Amino acid sequence: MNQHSARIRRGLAAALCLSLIAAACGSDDDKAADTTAAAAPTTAAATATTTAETEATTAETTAETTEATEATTAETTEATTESTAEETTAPETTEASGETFQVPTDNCPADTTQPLADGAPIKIGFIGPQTGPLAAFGVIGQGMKVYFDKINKEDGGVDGHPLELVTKDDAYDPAKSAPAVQEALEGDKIFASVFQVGTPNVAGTRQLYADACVPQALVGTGFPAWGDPAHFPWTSGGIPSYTVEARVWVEFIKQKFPDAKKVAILTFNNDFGKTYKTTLDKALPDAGYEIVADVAHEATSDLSNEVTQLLAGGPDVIIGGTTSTFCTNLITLARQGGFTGPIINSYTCQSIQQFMVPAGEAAANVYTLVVAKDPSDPAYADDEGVKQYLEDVATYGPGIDSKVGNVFTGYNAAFMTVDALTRAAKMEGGLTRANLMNAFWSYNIVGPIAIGGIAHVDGITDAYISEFGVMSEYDPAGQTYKVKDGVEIDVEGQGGVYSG
Amino acid sequence: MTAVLAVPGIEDNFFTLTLLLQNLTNGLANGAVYALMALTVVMIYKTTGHLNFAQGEMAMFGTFIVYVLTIEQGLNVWLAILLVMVGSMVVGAAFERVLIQPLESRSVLAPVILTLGLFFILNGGAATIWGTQPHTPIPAPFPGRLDDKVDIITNRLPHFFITYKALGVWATVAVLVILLNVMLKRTKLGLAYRAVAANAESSLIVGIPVKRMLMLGWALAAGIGSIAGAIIAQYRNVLDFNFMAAVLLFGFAAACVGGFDSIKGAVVGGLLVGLVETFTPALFTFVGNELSLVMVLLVILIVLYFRPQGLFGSKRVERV
Amino acid sequence: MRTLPLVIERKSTVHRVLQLVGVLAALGFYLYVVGIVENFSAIRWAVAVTLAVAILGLNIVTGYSGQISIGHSAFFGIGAYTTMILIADHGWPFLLTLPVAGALGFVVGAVIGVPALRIRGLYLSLITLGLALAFPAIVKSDNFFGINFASLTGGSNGKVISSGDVTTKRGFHWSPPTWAPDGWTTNDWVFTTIFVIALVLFLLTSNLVRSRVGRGLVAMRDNEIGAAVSGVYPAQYKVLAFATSAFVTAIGGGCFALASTTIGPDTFGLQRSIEFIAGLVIGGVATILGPAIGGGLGEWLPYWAYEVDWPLVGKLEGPQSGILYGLILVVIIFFMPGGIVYGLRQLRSKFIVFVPRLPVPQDISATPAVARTTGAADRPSSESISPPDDATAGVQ
Repeated sequence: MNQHSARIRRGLAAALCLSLIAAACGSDDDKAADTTAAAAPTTAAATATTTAETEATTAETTAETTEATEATTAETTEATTESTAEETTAPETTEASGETFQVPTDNCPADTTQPLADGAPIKIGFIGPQTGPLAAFGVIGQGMKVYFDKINKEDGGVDGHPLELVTKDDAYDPAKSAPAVQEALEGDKIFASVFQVGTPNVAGTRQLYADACVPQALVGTGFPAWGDPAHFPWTSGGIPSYTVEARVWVEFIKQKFPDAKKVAILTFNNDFGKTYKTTLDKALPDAGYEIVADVAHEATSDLSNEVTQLLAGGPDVIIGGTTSTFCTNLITLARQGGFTGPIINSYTCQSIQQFMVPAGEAAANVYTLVVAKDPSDPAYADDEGVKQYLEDVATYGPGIDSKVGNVFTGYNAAFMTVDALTRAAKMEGGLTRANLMNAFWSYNIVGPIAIGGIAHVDGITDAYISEFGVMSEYDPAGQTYKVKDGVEIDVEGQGGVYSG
Repeated sequence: MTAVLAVPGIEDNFFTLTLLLQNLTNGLANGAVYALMALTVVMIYKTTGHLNFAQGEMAMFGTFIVYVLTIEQGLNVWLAILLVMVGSMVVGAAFERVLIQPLESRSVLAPVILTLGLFFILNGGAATIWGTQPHTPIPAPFPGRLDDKVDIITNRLPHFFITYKALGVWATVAVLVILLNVMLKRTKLGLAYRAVAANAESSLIVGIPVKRMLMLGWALAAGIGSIAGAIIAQYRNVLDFNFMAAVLLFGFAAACVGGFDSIKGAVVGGLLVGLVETFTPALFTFVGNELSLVMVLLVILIVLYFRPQGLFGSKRVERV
Repeated sequence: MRTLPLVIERKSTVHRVLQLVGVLAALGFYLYVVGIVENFSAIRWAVAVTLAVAILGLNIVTGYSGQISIGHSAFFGIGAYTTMILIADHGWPFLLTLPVAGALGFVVGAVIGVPALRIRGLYLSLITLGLALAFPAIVKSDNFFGINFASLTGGSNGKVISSGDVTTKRGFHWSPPTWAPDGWTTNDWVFTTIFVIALVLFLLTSNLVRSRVGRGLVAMRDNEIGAAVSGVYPAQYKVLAFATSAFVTAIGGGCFALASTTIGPDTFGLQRSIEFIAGLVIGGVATILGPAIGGGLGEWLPYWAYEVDWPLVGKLEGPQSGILYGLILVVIIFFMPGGIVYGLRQLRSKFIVFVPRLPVPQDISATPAVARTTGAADRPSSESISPPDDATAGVQ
């Protein structure tokens, strides 16, 4: 985008914020710098909790973001104010809606709108694979527990309620998720479920949460259907959508490799990879590229055959819509096969220690949408958020390897949960499940390990929380991502809501 | 060196020379990996007549120990493999004697279920001890860096190259087969083993310690398995608690198509499975790589239809 | 006080009373699940019953016919997907989908039975293993020899029968009917339906194995050539064994779809097949009660391994529960190689022994010689085929 319109937006944002502060000042004493104890350390942008804080801080971050942008491909949008206690009277900006989201509670059991009893623990459910071939994702729960233990120890929980993590195993099998969720809902009576993993698992159980009116929040799959507050208000997404990421890749190729014409795609043959494939199969031809190889691999493959097929098409760019050690092997095998062009990596394997370092020098000319600060990245050694994370893992999770990607994913998810709980406790009616879901639909903060941008949803026009990343090249020598030279992608608000 | 063929259903770049050669190499290298596992299947089946579902996990567990010895303790990788091999042989023989033998006489399915139980124990054990995340760096029995390869044709993509790792796998299979043949055909122990494989009852009558031969089968399989584990971890570039599960299945398939009681069959079967896995998606447009396993199984079905005991398996003579 | 073991004649009054006790026990189990067990656990019991039905099917081909099949997850999946697709995409009532699921299973089972005519033993087992591996791949495939299965089955994203979304609340419901007792939930009604279907199938299977066909299958298992010589033609019987086995398992699959409401391709992979065969052997091959135990263990054992709160160490971490699961398998099979039912029978035989009812001696002086040879009615009634204690499940 051009500098001119960026400046105009900054001006408008500032004006809007000032007027809102004026309107809010009378009812609320909170000042911009005031953050609740529950909010974890952040980067320069502060966390937002109530109305008055939001404006000034988001103006800051918006300004920062636009300054840092070299050649963003999307527009930055205003952060809408979140208000539950009062309506805003400010004029509507182009993207924001002034309304706030309220989850419908007419068909809900009575306790949906009753506040949690004093001192009662807040049970947060994590339903995911603890056994089976995908048990590696189970450690997300460990990261969550570290953060919850920290909050319990340092702040006595949220609003006087200690946080309790309830883990259930479904071995990534949707048929096992349904009974596990039923048990969590009826047996353990969880207050909310956070970061449930697996597209079929989430899809197969969201009706159960809807019937029980329990939040199925921040689900750990990038399938776009979770941004559907009109039909499934009790389910919200938590990680960048794979569809958005795939489109970002196409845009990035257009920008950064203007001479490229032929693209080869490798995807994992499961729910995760299929989402990439469906998007790319449409977006690439639409942008004028020829897909010379479109290969799907199974979990049992070592990729030697697949990579040979990819290279046989003579591509200019290779896109890897896969995860874990498959990313490493794609890179190594492609380079061994003689491919010197750019390779695009899914953000799910951005972990430097786990997946990039093992590829060694082969990982030059590899690009990833970096969405979080990798704790093993030397570039962030002095970052407050990362340092705090490492300290917390050492204190509250001795024995846990802090460099494991899934651990800091869980930590971040727990941070977002505590933020939502804190805001919900301050809403009218107190800490009820309905208010919590409303809070899940009205984020406006930056997480401690997020690379930037604002995590923002409003449940009405913007249903996707995580729409910021930096397409960065990996530097094998320094074992770091060259984020400063990267291309910022901020499609905040552009995801809209799910439309079918 | 480009041949363009426009036959519907056949990939048009299939007959490009470099591609053909590279596919052949991939197929034979993967095939050698499957042959290694098939050898372990055959060594146990020949005398005991059953499958060991825990074979892959035993190999995986051994590979983790190699990892600990090599990466964490700094031992030379081949020394570590040798130590683990000896240890595995002892453990394998012990499993057979203590766990399997009491069951063999009582039921045919019971030993199989027991090996399944072992599978879960070893799988869960490895995940408990070493965690669920993949481990790096992986012990390197063969030179396995990025440029440890022989580039043969590089004028177009994909290059036709052979990695030292692949050469190492072929060498290992060849050496193992030679050693096994020497042992079986030239030593008294091998003779006893073959006797029990041919007819256990008669062997018992002539005084061959049949029980020891059953243990030997497991010991040999465990030993081969531990070497296979270390080599496969490097070849496929993954070391986590699940990495052997898929390979074992391919090993079963290879042993099946080659004949469960034939060493020659294990090698041929392995190579065949590897080649089918590579060539069916490479040749046909309507078969994607994700279906290559199904294609392998179809080929096995066809082979078995014409030779129900596998390519080199021995026919059972049934007396009424 | 009589000395043990008690000797009881079959079909005598005491025997009938004991059988009645068995029926009451089944009824008691039913009432326990519906009445006492918590609602969310009732659904797990429902799943356990569907697994029991699936293993019952497996028992026909593996236990009674001696063809070891590691591929029954495919038939289970065929049944489940059939029901799922008919309900979710075409709005069929649940009960009508079961015959379709069964029929489809029957056909595919017959197809698998054909290679069984030439291929034997472990080689056949490996073909069935191939089936178990192929099923998820085919379900996910959008181009399997031209057929787009993924569009039918939902592919990797799985399929769900849902009771509608928040706004419409339309969709599939399996709620208790009006005549059901108060306080019954959907789960209770689901369990009831599945329990009844399972009872019917168990009874039918039990009759099948006692019939001429069943005896033929067992004969074929124990000595195929001898059986063939005696008139049990392997071609028909092998195909029939696979077909009926698949039929039963597929219906189990249909019930499974009702119980779990959501399935995916990986639900029916190799893991599931192994669960079936392990459940069968642990329960007891070639018995009728064995599958019931196997199904129960198949659902509950992994759950208990994961959820139990041990006195000193608390709950087991994910992977550790796998160790416990394996240990229990090893221990059970080591001490009861024939399975739990055989172990129980051995225990029972210390207290009670069943003997066939002896024919009433006839006064033969009055009857002519010809009539004597046709005294079929005097022969003891056929009993259930119980394999010898060492539980061979004949693989040649």
